[in-house]
Amino acid sequence: MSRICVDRVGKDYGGVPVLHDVSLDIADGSVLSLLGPSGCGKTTLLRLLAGFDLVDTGNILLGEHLVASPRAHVAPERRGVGYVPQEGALFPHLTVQGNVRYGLSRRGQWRARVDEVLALTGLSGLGQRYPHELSGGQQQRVALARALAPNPALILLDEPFNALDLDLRRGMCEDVISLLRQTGTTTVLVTHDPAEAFAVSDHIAVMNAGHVMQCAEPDIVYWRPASASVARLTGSAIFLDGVVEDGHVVTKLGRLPLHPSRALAAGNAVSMLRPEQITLGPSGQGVPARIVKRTFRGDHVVLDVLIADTLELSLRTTSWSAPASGADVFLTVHGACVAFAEVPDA
Amino acid sequence: MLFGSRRRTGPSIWFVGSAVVPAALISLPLIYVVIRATQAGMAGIGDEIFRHHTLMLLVNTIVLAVSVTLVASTIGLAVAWCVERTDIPGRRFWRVLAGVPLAVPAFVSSYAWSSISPLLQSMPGAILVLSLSTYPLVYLPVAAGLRGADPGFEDVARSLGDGPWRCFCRAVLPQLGPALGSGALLVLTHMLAEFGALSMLRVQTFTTAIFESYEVQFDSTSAALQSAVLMALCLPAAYGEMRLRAGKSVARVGRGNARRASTARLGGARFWVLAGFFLLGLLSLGVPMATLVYWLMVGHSAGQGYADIWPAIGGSVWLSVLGALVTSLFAIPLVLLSIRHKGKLAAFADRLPYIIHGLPGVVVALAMVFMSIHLVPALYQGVTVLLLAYAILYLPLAQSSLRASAELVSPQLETIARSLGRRPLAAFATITLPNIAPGIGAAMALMVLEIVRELTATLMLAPTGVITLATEVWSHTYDAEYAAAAPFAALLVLVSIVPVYVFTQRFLQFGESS
Repeated sequence: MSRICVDRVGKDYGGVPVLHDVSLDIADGSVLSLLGPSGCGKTTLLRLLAGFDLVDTGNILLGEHLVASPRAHVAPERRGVGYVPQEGALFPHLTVQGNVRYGLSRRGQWRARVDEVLALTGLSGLGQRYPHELSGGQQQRVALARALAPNPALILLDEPFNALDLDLRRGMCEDVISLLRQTGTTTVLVTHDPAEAFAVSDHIAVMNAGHVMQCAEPDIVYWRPASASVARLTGSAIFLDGVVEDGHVVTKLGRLPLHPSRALAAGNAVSMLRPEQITLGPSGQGVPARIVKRTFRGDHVVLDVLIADTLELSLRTTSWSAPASGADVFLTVHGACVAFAEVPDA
Repeated sequence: MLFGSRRRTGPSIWFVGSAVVPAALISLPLIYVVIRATQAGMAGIGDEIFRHHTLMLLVNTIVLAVSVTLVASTIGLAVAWCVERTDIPGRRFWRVLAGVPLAVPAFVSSYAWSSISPLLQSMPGAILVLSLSTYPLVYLPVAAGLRGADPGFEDVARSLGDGPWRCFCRAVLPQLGPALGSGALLVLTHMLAEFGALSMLRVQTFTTAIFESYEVQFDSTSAALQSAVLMALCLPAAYGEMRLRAGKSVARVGRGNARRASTARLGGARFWVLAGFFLLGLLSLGVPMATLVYWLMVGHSAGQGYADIWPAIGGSVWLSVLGALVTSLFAIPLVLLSIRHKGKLAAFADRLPYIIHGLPGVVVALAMVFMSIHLVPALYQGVTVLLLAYAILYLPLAQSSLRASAELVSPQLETIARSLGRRPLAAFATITLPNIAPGIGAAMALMVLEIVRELTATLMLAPTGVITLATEVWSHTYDAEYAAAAPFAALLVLVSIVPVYVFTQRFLQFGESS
């Protein structure tokens, strides 16, 4: 029922385009992350979904209902879309209970529903508190409870854990998403943290400069990015010039297999590897290299290695077995890689 | 039905309406002047404007306004510097005391002085009395400016070889420019609009002449043309003030201004500076208060004038409470418009108060009389017209005092309320309004107390038979019944203490560590 369809949506503010032809299809009950740098348009897309802003081109469908197009606009209060903003934005003059019941009809079983949602979000017993009496994490949970109370078909989370410290943030995000899955609510999460997106999403839409550059499952986005910039936005990447031939790409690290699904015509290309695909191998096997710099980072070590006196790469390795700077080592490449015909800018 | 679509773009109709209504209201005085001028015809305009009388009024108005501005600025600057940057004994005491004369409305101190000697009922007397009662308008922002100024500039100037005096002129004064300028312009606009004090001190300027043309000679054409000239004088001052303030350059504290400026040692001059402060305190507060007490005792022994006290208090209270309510009704949507939206309309809403600020009460009152007679005769001499005049005159105050509390409510709260199913008006009523209510309450209290001090519009527009504290002070003084005016004047001073305290604290706390 609540499959969400964003069809070629465009938006500009005062002549400056912020979204171009954005299309997304979000399955009922699934979790989609919008991942991208700040200013890429992800929050704008969220506001269009919620109905706070008007679309300039394209359509948005919630289930079978057209809610936004250049000619029609359904007001936010008639969409049934829950929204949890960055700072929580709890109503300061209402208690936790007052906040949570705000979206519920004044008739009917609101009290039972409030208790139910508070229990679900782990806030039982805090109903009479005011927002300023709560910790940051509790405030975010109240914001979530408030959005969940009217039973929305779709819930939008706009970097809701940003204000929390890192430790709390990761755990909180996973808790919240598993709670939303439990209730079967379709969820769109805006984030700029790839690790957060990978951990909780069914699909990730990687956005940059107003475009959706790729929308796919997390491991596909990570291992088979659609472009060099998607690769960079989703984690560390190593780019190597090479030549494609027969399902492989020939680079200074040897002849690397391409993903079967990502074949490329023969010719010059740039291949992309994730740093963890390259490990130190047994002596005498693989590509010889010399360690030129070793940076201790606690749980891992970053090794800058020089290959054939020309190519410098940064690799990660476990902290307890890393060789010293100046050592000669041999590198092994694991798994397949992807290659792009276009050359990425540095 | 949950879904159902309707598309509407741009700011909501409520906001547009909320900006248009006050704009229409404040354009009334302009429309009035234009209509009356057209009726008088070119010949009539020429006759009136180039009359000897008009020239005399122009000279008087300008001499008074410029002199008071200069004297008040000099006193204000000197007091601010002594209090903030020297080792004058009793600094803290003088700091607070120097702002207190604001609590005595100008027409009350004029009443006190004019009761002492008819000699003071002259141009030099008026300049003295009004300078003494308006210098805090310069002193307060300049003192705040001095606390906010970066002492680093002074250190550098001294290290580059400037002596203390050159250092003050080259390193301190330029930083104080905006504060001094806005204070001086405030005094100037007050002087151009001042009516009560001048009529008690018997100095003829445009405001008193307009009042006389209208009340005494029933010559509304002269009154209108004199209003036109007065507005031509006021608007540039208001514009200048707007430019200065819009830059928000008034005494901004730099971050990390941790060190306090060093204080100058007065040394041998200490005695003279202290004597100056005593004299200033004596003239600005001591004399008016002593006179007031004297007349209170005389009046008490004569047993006169007390019968009207309750009706006057009643009149002041209900007019000012209603006035504050009406003004807030106009101001709230205007404030929300100017902070929530961008674009021409919002910028206009932002500037509106400065334009209004330049309109003298006497012109506003005259315009309201004319418009009510010609548009809605039923309202003439009714309280509605007076309340609308209050709304025009106190919109700037309402806007500035409401703005601070409205800015605290994030617009996101309203969007969330809407995503939870409330319509825009319901979202406003359940979320924004409860959160700005305390701010509205405080702003209204301030407005009530300010409106109690209002004289000109009340005098001209109050329904027949309605008296207030301010109108009683004026009419008794006008008839030289000084003892009879005293209880009303004393009550006005008492009432003024709260708004003046709020206003003064805002400046005195500026730049303090906590």
